[in-house]
Amino acid sequence: MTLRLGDYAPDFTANSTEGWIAFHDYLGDGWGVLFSHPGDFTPVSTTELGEVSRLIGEFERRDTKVVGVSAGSVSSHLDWADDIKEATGHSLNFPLVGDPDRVIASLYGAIRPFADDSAAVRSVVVVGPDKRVELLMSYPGSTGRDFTEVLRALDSLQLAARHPVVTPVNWEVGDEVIVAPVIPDEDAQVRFPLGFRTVTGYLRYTPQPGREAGSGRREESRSR
Amino acid sequence: MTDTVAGASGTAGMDEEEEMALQLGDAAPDFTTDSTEGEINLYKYLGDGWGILFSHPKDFTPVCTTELGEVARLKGEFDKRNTKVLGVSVDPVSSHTEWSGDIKEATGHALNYPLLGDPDRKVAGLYGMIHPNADNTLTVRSVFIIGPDKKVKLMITYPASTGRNFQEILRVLDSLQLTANYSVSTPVNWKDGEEVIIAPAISDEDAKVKFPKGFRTVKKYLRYTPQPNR
Repeated sequence: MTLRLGDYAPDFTANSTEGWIAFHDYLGDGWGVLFSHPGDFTPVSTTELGEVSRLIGEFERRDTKVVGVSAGSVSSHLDWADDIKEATGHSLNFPLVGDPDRVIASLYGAIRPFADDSAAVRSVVVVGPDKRVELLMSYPGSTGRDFTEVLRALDSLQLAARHPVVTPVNWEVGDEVIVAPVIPDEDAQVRFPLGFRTVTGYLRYTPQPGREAGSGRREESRSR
Repeated sequence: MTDTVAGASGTAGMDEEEEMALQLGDAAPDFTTDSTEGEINLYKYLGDGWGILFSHPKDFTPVCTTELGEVARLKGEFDKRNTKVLGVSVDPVSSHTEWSGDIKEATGHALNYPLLGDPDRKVAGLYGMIHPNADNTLTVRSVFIIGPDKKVKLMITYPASTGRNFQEILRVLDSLQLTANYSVSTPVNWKDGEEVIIAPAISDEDAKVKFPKGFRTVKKYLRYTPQPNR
């Protein structure tokens, strides 16, 4: 099967480092990030899982649950968790699902989360509260992901879900956003009391709505 | 407009419903099609270098305008990395050409790379850029990085609401190019100039020869070394 944006994210029940997990139940009404790594006891993945552990508060702040998955067994994940803590200083603090039979891999087949080692892929699937796929990334084994970019994209997705806005290239929390083209100028004046500036007819910038509630995020998400 | 699709025998007879799902490591489908810089054959255009094929949903829409202006601003960065960039959407070339005036006016950067016209969705079909449950007719924000061997190295798919981050594209290009030339991989959040990781397949003895700047061992499979080409 080919997984595409807007598709229903396949549900699964599997054992994890935090016990059995029913994926959709686990996400509840919030957002989800399902990400795969090529193998336990491999170096880049160790740095990635430590970093996601370090950022867990940033994901929680965004009402987002993170689930990792690989073809390793749960007992392998648990052994490896000691290495992650020792190597990165951050203890694994989200469930790492064991998928030795590759049930989840085949459910999410199009992203081929962990074929064989030579074709191992670092996938990211962002799932919205409606359980639809919002965003996909496939990076090769050689290249560790940038989880600050995943947070940035989450901020954009969540803002666009709450307000009739979209976010420009390279946008970060606190930057101006773009009024959705379907909103006529008259409506925009009501919906965006801070006003907007028109660059071209369809490109109208406005201060980020609801910024008060989200203030300070940018500094936090950018801190290393 | 010509739209001969060459070198993609696996797709013959496939309709949009059954279009192939590209995977990392697959050959990037070749095509010949019309662009804002005339007819382009993908493989010939890329030559021996790297390529980025990226789609946007529609001309004369705001996020796309900011994205295409930004890519134009970064053209020198892509050139430096021996990487050719091609944009594509289901709009015709005539629309692209008209829109490019807006891109320049709105962002201050004139379009300086080819935008492919794909009104019959040939390229979009080959690369699976239309996701019917997101939008039936328009392409999503796809990015395909293509190596000198014409294989797909990396894929990113963002929805219409969310402009991409082209600094991230440059970052991963740096990683892909470095790891193609040295027995290393790059850790989470890595940026050009930072330490890299020695491939686990390399023994410590070999690593001492291959990485004369030395390395530090955190776990036996996690050994950091200064970036070798720096």
